[in-house]
Amino acid sequence: MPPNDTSPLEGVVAAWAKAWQDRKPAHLIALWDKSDAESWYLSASSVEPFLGNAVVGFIQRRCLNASTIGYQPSDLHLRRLAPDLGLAFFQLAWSEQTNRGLDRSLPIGGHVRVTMMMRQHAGVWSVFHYAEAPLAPLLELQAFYEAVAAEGLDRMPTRSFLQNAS
Amino acid sequence: MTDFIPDLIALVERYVGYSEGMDFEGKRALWDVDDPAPLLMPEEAHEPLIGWPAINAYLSKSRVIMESLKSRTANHRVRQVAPDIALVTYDMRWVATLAGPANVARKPIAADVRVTALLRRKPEGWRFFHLMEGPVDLLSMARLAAERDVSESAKQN
Repeated sequence: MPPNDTSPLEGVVAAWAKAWQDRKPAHLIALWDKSDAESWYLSASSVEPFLGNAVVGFIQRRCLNASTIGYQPSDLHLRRLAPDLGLAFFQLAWSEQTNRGLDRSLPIGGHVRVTMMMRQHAGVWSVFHYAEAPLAPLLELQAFYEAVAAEGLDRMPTRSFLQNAS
Repeated sequence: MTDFIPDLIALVERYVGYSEGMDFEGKRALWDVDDPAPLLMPEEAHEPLIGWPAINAYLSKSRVIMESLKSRTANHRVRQVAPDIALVTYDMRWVATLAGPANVARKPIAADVRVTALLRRKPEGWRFFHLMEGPVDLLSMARLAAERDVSESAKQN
């Protein structure tokens, strides 16, 4: 295999995405480098990263607490930084519907940018660093206001108490 | 194996310190100019900046849209992931005043981002070739704001 071949890295990203979509924690954990006590997983919704063994628990909880997960990477940029070291950067469209809590009926989603690092041990590639970066919340909020403005003055939502009364 | 860690943290602090004078040339000088595909992902950019034309254009524009900028870092973590490559993560707080008309009062705004950076060891020292800034997402920031409100209320009671 040529030293600059990025197809194994692309395969890891695809398998990772499918495992999230299928909510298969065992498949995700199989792709994670569990031998690395300093591995790092930073979710856009977490203030602190998960390190080492805590990553496994996070993946299991997230899969367990969701009834659906959408995970669609695009615009992949892949690099072999060394024969056994790979870098992936991609845009991610995610969605999630939780099966617990007050908001369980409402799916939510968004877009983040992801840096993922992988290393190869004994012919197997596994992830040891994963970080999500959303757009600055100030701009997300501005985009929401702009989207409402784009709907126009007349597109007011109909409230359910009025629908029930008719 | 770990004697380079203070050097790398010092380099990160130097890089971030260039914000204070909005010395974006100084920042650029700490990137690996030989890298064919450097990547910079600022939190406010909608798309990643890949390659020198995109990164140079971004750095030039930053000076125009901000009146002042200061940044500090904390919680550095350094890992050597290949003989010549280091993975550095850190938190960065930026404080900025956006440019605008002189007669309009503007307060500084600030936020914290989590940075993932990759640097390559070169003869002249460590140099960046990948840097991504990641704030918490909007939902989490709303929660942080609500927690801050409770904390402020508790102080008043």
